[in-house]
Amino acid sequence: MLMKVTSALAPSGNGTQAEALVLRGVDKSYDGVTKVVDALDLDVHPGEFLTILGPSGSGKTSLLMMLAGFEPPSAGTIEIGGRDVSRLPPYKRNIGMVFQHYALFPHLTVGENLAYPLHARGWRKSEITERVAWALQLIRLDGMRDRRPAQLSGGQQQRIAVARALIYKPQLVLMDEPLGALDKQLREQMQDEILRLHRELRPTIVYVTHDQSEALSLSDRVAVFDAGRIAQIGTPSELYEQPGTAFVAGFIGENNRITGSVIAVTTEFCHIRCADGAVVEARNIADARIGDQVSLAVRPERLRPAQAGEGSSVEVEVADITYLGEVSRVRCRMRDGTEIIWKLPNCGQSARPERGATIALGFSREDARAFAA
Amino acid sequence: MNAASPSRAGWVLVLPLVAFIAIAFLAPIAIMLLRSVHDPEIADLMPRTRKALARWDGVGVPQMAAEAVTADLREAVATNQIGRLAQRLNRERNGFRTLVDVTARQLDRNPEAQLARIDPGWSDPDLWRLLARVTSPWTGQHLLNALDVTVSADGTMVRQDEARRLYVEVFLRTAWVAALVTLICALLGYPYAYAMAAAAPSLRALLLFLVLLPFWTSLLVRATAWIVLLQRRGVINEGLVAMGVIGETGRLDLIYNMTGTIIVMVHVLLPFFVLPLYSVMAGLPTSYVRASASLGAHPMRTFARVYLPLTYPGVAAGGLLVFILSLGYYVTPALVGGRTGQLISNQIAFHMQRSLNWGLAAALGTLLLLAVLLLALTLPRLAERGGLRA
Repeated sequence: MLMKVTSALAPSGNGTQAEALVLRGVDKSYDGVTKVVDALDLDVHPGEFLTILGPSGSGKTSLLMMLAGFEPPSAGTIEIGGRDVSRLPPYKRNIGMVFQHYALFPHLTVGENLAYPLHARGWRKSEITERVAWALQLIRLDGMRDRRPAQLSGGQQQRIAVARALIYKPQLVLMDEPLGALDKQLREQMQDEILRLHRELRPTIVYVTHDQSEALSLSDRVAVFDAGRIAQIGTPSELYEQPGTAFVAGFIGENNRITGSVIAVTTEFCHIRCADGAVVEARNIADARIGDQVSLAVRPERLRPAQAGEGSSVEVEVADITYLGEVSRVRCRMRDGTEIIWKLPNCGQSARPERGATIALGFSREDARAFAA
Repeated sequence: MNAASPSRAGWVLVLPLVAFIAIAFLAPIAIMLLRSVHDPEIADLMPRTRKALARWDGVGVPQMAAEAVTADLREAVATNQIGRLAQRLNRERNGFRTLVDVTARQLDRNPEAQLARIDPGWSDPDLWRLLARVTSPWTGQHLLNALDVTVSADGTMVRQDEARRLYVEVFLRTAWVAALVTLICALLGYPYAYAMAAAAPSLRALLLFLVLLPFWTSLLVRATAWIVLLQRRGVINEGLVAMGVIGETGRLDLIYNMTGTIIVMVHVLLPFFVLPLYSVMAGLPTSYVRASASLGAHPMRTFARVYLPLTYPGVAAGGLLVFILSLGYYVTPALVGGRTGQLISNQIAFHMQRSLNWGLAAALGTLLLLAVLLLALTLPRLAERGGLRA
């Protein structure tokens, strides 16, 4: 029975199906002057897990409110499953939503919470009973049907909230920082749970978070939001390995920033004179020309002790070393004061640097990216 | 400092308040309530009779008590209390005053006279049974009166004659008015509280100000304002006549009756409904309503299945407050109730101030207090159960 219902939940048909979600030129402004969401175009494929990642104030919550129908867009259109829903109220959009603080109805039992959207859709009683039992089994909370939400742990409540949003096969499931209220360990368990549910049921999910590790581990694609626009959209590895802007480079994972000016340009790369005088080579993302000021980004784990005649290197003084188990985090300072973080794998062989020592840190030109300063 | 000292210090701090409440509030109430079952007036005036009748078996005419009555009456004459005693006894039984007056006069003339000779009334066993009952300082009489029950001549409890029944009807009317006022407050107050909770901060401040405004206006001023509006030649009637909605002879009786009482009570009590409800609504996260909408529920369903049940504690709190306040409402009915809009508190005030039957006033007050306590203890529990099931 489980298998049957599961397959019924999977998106029907293939190939010619419309996009699950299409946004065209969507603006949102509350005061008519500042655009919180600015001329947004976005396509989400059926069954895709897309994360909207951004700092607070980047417009990601406004976008979610527009998708859910709690706020009308100031301009542009929103299509869900090929249907224009821009002006539809939330209850007509056939979406599911998971809230940060669960928003389970406290006066209803777990079973009644799960049945709520089915009642609203006029399902028959026997169907509802069957589907609720299936959902409880799905999230492994079989015995909890007659409990009230307050009697459950935070993790259990959030599993029920997720199940409640999935139970009626909505065309689109929105998740608004659903793990924000949980502690770290529970958050990781819930990530696995959400991934499992997504794999089993294949709903289209738009997930909003400000937590980049959550975004990277959960998503098929991540859209990085900055000031109401998508700074970059791509798979987690694309965003991490090939950040397109300085903002993305700084927001996703840790990055060292070195400023300097371009002194030579080849086809893909450029030579940069850093503030302390060192000359390094980096990928020319910004299309910078000679004389331009650029900002160079290098991942801490891509640094290594410089070998003579190989790649670029900068001279730094070791400020302090923090032992973190698999790696040591070495905080260094360039001569002009720029801080450099070096993550040194603890393989047991390499000699650990001394505090106060002056060392040269090198990196390959493939690993350094120059953005417009 | 040990761990116990903060709580001990706390006790010392509230001690003045506790003492004030005990002396100025609890003690007077207790004394007043005691009066409903404890009435030593007759017992004090007829101490010998009381002692003589205390061990009487209640059959026939007790010969040994006649002497005691004679002695008590003589002393009452001597201390000039005979008029008061006659009046007080007359309240227990019509005609008793004449009997006492005649007997006292005869005893004055002829100290050796026998009671039964003076007046055949003294040969009535019922009279002696009555005397035995009323010379006891403890009495259920006032409570029975307050329930329109009387003790018949042979000592059994029967309902008061139709014409003399009064208080049960007033109690029921009071309860009905309280329920009606609560219902109207709920119908008017719920949308208002919702508007307050949903409004933008500036509008919310204005709405809150409007709710609180009545609190800052004297009850008398408000009642007078309603009189100006509602009376037969008041603003509303004049306006309706001027617009031709009603004729000169069809003026509406909006005040000095039950209608007036209810209108003004709703106005006075509305804030007591709105404020607790508003605090519940304001504390309710928007995510519940949003969750309901996102799950596909029409706004009507969201209201009925989510918003109303979750704001039910506020409705219950406000409703209970308004209902209980209505049960004891006095000033408004007194000012605008006319003759038909009087409630139980007005009866209590009447017996306190006019008829000076404090025992009955205390009995009515006791019954009212018991009713309120009963409601205050049971209604919240019922409401809670109902709210959870909804």
